Amino acid sequence: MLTVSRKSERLVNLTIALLATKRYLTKSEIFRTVEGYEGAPEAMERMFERDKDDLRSLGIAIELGTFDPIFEDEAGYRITPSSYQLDLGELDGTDIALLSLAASAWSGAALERESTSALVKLASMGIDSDSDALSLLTPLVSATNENFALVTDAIIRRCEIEFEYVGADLSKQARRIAPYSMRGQSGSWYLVGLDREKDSLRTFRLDRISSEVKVGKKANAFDIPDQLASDSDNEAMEFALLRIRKSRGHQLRSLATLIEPGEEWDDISLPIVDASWLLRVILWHRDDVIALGPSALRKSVIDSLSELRVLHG
Amino acid sequence: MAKSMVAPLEQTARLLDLVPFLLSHQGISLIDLAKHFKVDSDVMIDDLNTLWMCGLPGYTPLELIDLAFDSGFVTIRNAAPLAYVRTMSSAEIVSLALGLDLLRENTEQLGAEHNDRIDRLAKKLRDQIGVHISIASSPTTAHRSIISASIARRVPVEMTYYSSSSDEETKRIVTAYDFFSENDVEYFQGYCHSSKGMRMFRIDRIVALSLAESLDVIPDVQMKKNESIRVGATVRALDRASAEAFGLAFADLRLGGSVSLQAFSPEWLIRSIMASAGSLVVEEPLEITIAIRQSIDSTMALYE
Repeated sequence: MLTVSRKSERLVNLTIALLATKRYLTKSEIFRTVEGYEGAPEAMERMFERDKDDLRSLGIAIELGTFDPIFEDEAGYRITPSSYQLDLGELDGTDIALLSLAASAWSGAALERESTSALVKLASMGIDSDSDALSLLTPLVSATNENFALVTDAIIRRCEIEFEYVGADLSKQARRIAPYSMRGQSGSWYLVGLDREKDSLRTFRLDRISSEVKVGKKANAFDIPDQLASDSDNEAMEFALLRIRKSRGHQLRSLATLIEPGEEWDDISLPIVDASWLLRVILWHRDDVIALGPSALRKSVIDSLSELRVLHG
Repeated sequence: MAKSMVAPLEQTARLLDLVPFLLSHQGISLIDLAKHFKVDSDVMIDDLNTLWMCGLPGYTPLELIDLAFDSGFVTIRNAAPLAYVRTMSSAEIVSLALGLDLLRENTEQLGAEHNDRIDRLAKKLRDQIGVHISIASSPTTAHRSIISASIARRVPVEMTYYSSSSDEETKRIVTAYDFFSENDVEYFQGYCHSSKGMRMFRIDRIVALSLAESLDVIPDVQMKKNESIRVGATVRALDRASAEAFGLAFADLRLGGSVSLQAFSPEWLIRSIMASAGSLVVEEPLEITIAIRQSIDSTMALYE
């Protein structure tokens, strides 16, 4: 415990010294004056290099420079308040209240630690939070998946990730992905990234990742293209023609691009995005839905029904 | 990042953030302070003791940060060099941006006048980090907060609910009692004023939801879970979709192995077995097998 405190004490002292100085502090000045640097010169040298890396990992930028380039002074270090200080532009009490409410959404979820420190920073800005302007409903993020924070981190730092993914046939597949983005939709989290093996864009559902996500060491390992071709951009899409009993099949109706009302039944067409998903949904609706076409879809429904009949004979 | 940050760095980050927080919260109690930073009081005392040793080079009382916390209330002086609120990490900004996404969906309760503000704040944050992480159209989060409010304030909700087993949308008034999740599916339980009984509802099947105006008195009913059905089935094909529908662990499925399936209504069970397209075959009880057979036959008749 003591060593832990000694190290953080030194890092805080170094930060204070470099923040408070108006001029660049040379290494020897730092070693002489900042508390915590002791021992042989090489040891202090190594310690200082590690400390600089540590502060950088906390997002603190240490500037290297000289006051007077003409006289070739020894280079020195400082932290400029403008780079150290939080700058979110002009914020008023309602903004602070909204941001605080946003941070509270992580209670018990994956980014709880990050949101806690964000909340502390918001509260330290000296702007009174105007929470009376808001109702007291706090939305809650449902992201308790332990890989969530790892994937988020990898997207931010642009590191490749590796994991084991459960395929449609429950086989486990090793994947290596350059993670581009993540979105939450209908209660699940989807990761979009470039599959390095297949060299194409893929979408993965976070809860189908069956191993811990391994984050590569190298940061900035890839660029994220400005425009991501989405899965649904496929133009050569086939349409399914279904006959649906009146006031039934809400799920399918909501996807329809065309509905032709009839007496007892309505005919609808919808794009086939995922054929196996569509087959299941048609079977699920039993005798409320008839697959009219295309013929391949109709045949797969009939084949599945025959197989079900044999199996449950 | 959550796991990998080592203890001294975690403490350093906290110490740097403590100073501006204390400067704007002079006299805060130790207990409240620990709560804000979500650490134990012991950890907070250790932090304060460490911070007390920090200051400008020279490190005489003139340069050291001056802290007083013996009384259980914390005051800070002589901490000007660290008075700045530290810039946020990308992960912190992501947590705020995603939280705003959720608020955006909740504007129905927040009041639409906040829409522009939320959009402006979210854009400001995303411009800083340029990362594509978002929450889109996930109504379940909005629903969850309305149901929490219903439970907390004992106000019923007006709900349009999609009943998947009957494939129908119905309007109901429900007083919520509690949440639970089973096999990763979230439910809430409540007294349904429309059908006059305790019912369970899946959050993801709610079509529309709002708090009802009136403050109804909650009827005194015995809480009981709907009786669930269990059936025995054989695994005929390894199929992820079927496993997810029945909430079975992927690892528990073996080709030719037996599994026990749970459902809250026979109709839902039959439909799900049909949708499994033969990957799961019900072996018992007999009345379910017969019902499945009838269901297959009536569907097949449409194709003859």
